[in-house]
Order: sequence, then structure tokens, then C-alpha cells
Amino acid sequence: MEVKSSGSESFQRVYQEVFPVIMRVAYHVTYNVDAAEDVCQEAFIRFYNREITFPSIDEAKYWLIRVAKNLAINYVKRKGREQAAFDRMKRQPLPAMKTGEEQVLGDETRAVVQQAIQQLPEKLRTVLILKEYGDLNYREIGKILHITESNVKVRAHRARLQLMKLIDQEGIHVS
Amino acid sequence: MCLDDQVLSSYIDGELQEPWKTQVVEHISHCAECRGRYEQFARLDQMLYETRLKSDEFSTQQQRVWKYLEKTCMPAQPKKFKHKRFAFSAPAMAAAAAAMVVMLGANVFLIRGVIGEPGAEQPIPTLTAEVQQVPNGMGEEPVIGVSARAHRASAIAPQELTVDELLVLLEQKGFEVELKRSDSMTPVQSYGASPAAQQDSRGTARLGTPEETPATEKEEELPPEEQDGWSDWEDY
Repeated sequence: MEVKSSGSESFQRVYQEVFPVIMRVAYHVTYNVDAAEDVCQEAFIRFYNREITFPSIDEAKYWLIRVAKNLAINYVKRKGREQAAFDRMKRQPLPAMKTGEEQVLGDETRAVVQQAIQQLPEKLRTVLILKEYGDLNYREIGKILHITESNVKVRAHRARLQLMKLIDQEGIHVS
Repeated sequence: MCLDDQVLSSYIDGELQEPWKTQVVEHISHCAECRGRYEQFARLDQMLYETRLKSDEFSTQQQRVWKYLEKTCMPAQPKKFKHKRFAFSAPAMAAAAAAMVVMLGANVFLIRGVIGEPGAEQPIPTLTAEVQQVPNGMGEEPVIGVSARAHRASAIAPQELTVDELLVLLEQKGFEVELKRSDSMTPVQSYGASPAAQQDSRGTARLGTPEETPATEKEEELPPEEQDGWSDWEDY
């Protein structure tokens, strides 16, 4: 079913479905809730104003994820990674965990995981974030990044290996 | 033969097809070494999952952004304010009592020129404003009752607006509006900017800064050398 980016009914439907995805992607790129909110807002404004007709809601979703991902990466670049990390430590508390049952990881471990993700090269990081937090499969990630499915597979694998190494270096053992 | 990490990674991602999937499950069940590596991947996955931003951690943001988009992007929705009355201070009252909302004829023409492309006949937007004096029961300062109606198929929904709301609406739509006194036709105040500058093809106000380049499907936000491409990345 076609989706018009500026049709108010389809816009609302796309918003409901896609906002959580791009919010998570933007957050896990920036690790800053306010920045992620700005990214989502900007992505949807561009989406609405472009007046594109997408062949399906999935295509609209891929477009939005691609734009949000780029906006988030640009945000991080603009801020500078070290500066962003500094700000996060000072002003951005980690999101509180909700239930005791979920709270397997201590805050310290969570911070280590987040920092390790940020140290990954961009190509690996993007794939990992889209896979883990965007809930997308290899085929979808390939479409968003304009790369082949097998390339996504390789990057996901390498991202995991590097991540394990980085987390282990911090004295937290994955195994 | 033991499993390589790539296969385990694909398995964790739920991307391994049959019959390999079953083979991996069987192999893990009897090979301690591969099971150990699988558990490492699984543990990492669990760690990543636990750092995930939960839905209830961004529900406020989701609502806030939607409200913003509704206000700025979406076509004006009919609202439920009716016959709002408000008082003016004496000098403003004097001006307002004689005020008319005048859309400059040239602007109407321009706008029509934009939206009225061949094959897209649309009615000319018209606006009427009525201004009347209403006693407010307090003697001294009369209250000015104002009602305004906008007539146009879609861009401006028919509704009753106060002068303030009307001005805001018109400004949002990119119209240039001048308040004039009916006696002297001296401009009291002007709102908005030139429609040629703000009006886009839908007749709604354009958002964002002029220097901003919209994103395209090509990843133009990123410098070309940093685009994700597969040519510089060897597959297995």
C-alpha cells in the first residue's frame, strides 16, 4: 500500500510505527535523549516536507531510519566524540532500569557497554545499532545502508568481536 | 568440524536458514568449546539488550514531537474555540475597533498563481472579519467582539477565529497581513513575510532554515567518503 509522506492519515500511521525505531537508533548513536528527540523531530519534518510517495510503509521506514541515522551521526561528529562522552558523564544520567528482575547489569557495566559501542568504527557501529536496537534484519539493514546482505552479516560479526574485546579490556568479561 | 564465529553470529541474529540452523543447535549441544563461544555471543547480546532504551523512557518525547509536528507541519485542524472575546487597552481598542484584516490583493494573486497551476483549479482564499462593539457590562471599557471566517477548501479550514488567532494562522500559512484602520487605511501592524518567500507548492508555510538542504535517499548528510559503501569492504 502506497504511503504519502505528507498525507495526514498515513503520516500519523508512519509516526506511530517508526518513531520508536528511530528514537532508539538515534539514542544509541548519540546516547543523549535530548539529541535523539531533536533528530526524530527533524527527520519527521523532512519526511513530511519532502512529499514523497513510498511504495510501502517499510520503504518509508527505511527512508526515515536512514535520515535519522545520518542526522544522529552528524550530531556526534559535530559535538566531537570526546566532548560527547564528557557531557554524558556530567549531565546525562543513564536511563534508569525499571524492575529489579531486569537489572542484571550494574550502571557501571552499562556505561562500559555504551562506551565500547561508541568506540567501534562507524561502519560496524551503525550495523550493530540497527540490528540490536532498530530490530531490523540483514536484508532491511542492507537496504537502509545501500550495502549487500552478506556485507551486513560480516559487519555484524566483526562488530561483535570488537565489542567483546573492548568490553573485556575494561575488565568486564562477556564470557 | 567446529562452527566458525561468523556462523554463530548469524545464528544469534536469527539469520541462519535451515538446515544449518538445526545443525548448529545439534553441534552446540555436544561440543563444549562451541557452546562456550555461543554463550559468549549470547551474553554480549543480553548486555546490549539491557542497555536498550525502553519504550516508557521516550513516551514523553514521542508525544512532544507529535504535538510539535501537528502544530507546524500538519494542515490546520478545525479547533473548538468559538466567539472568543477579548478586551483591548484604550489605544489598541481605538485601532482595533476600526481594524480590518486586509489581505493584499497582490498576494492573493501571487498565491493563486502558485497553487492555481493548470488542471488544479482551486478557489481563491477569502477571509472576512467582522468587528463589533459589545457592551461588557463594566461600563468604561467596551469589549470588542471579533469573529472571522476563512473560506477555502482545504488550506484554511472554515472556523471562527479571533483576530489574534487569525493573524497567527495567516502567518503560519505564509500570508502577508496588514491591519489597517478603516478611516485612514494607515497600516497599524504587519505580520508575516512575503508569500513568495514562504509559500511552497502546497500553500503551507515552509519550515526550516533556507540554507538547509533536505535529506535525500543518498546519504547526503555524510561526506561522500564516509558513506556506507560495500566496494571498499571485502566479503567473505
